[in-house]
Amino acid sequence: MNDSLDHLEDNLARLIQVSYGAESRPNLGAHERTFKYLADNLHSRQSAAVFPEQIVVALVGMLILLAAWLVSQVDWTGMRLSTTLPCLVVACVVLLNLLFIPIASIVILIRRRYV
Amino acid sequence: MNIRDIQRDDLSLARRTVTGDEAALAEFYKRYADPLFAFIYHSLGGVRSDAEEIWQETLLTALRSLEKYSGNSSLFTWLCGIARKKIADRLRSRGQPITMFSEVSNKQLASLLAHGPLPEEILTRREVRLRVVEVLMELPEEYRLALTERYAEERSVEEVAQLLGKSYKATESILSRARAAFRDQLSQYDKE
Repeated sequence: MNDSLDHLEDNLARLIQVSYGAESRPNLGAHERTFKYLADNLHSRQSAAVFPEQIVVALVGMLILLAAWLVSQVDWTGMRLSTTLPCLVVACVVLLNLLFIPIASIVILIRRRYV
Repeated sequence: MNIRDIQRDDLSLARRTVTGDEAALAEFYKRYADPLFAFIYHSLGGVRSDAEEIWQETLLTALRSLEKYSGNSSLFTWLCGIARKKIADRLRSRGQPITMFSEVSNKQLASLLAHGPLPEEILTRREVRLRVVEVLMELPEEYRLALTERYAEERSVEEVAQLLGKSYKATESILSRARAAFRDQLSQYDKE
């Protein structure tokens, strides 16, 4: 029984030494650099503006309403859009948003790749 | 402290860190930075420069996505998941094969611990070293601290007693229970 406990202690000591000894851990310099890097990152994240999800939903909803209104302004017989100022402004807003979808998607993908 | 308590504790730590609490970040770092490095270092077969790079990337990615941690696994298991992906990406980008480990039975390893000196061949195996790090992280903090200070830092029982704030006798008892808990955990350990 005692032999078995002695073996357990000796073997554990060797296992933990090779698996978790100083060689398997970062040195002091790496620790200092890394912790500072993480702390700086945490602070910069906190100072970044937070964009609430409700606002995103509201913006998307508004865009859908504008697009629907725009569709209602189309003269379907002549296949023409009314050229009044509100129509042109709304058309520009909807078009710009549509154009930004692929651009934003690419930016998000690139950012995720390098996070 | 069982695995559920560890997960609850981890979730609370993650939530505090996400809010920008620097003390929580320091605790997160103190608890996980070293074992995560050991995990990555052994996964890469002991390439220190690569290990350091992937370790930093893993910690940064973890910090940025800590709000996604749900507490369904221990935080260390979650961190190892991120590290595994980074290691696989690194090996793939270099055209190196992602080595699958040969399986050594956990029960066999646990039983070998108490039956004569462990063969050198076992000690040099990467999967054994990884398993030791993972099992250590599943032990209650007091046991983990006692074992790592005693065997990894090679401190005397008196020094460990001072660190734990316990008497010599109590520390010997903690070490004895920690060794038994390590062996039990190892024999129950199932790789994901």
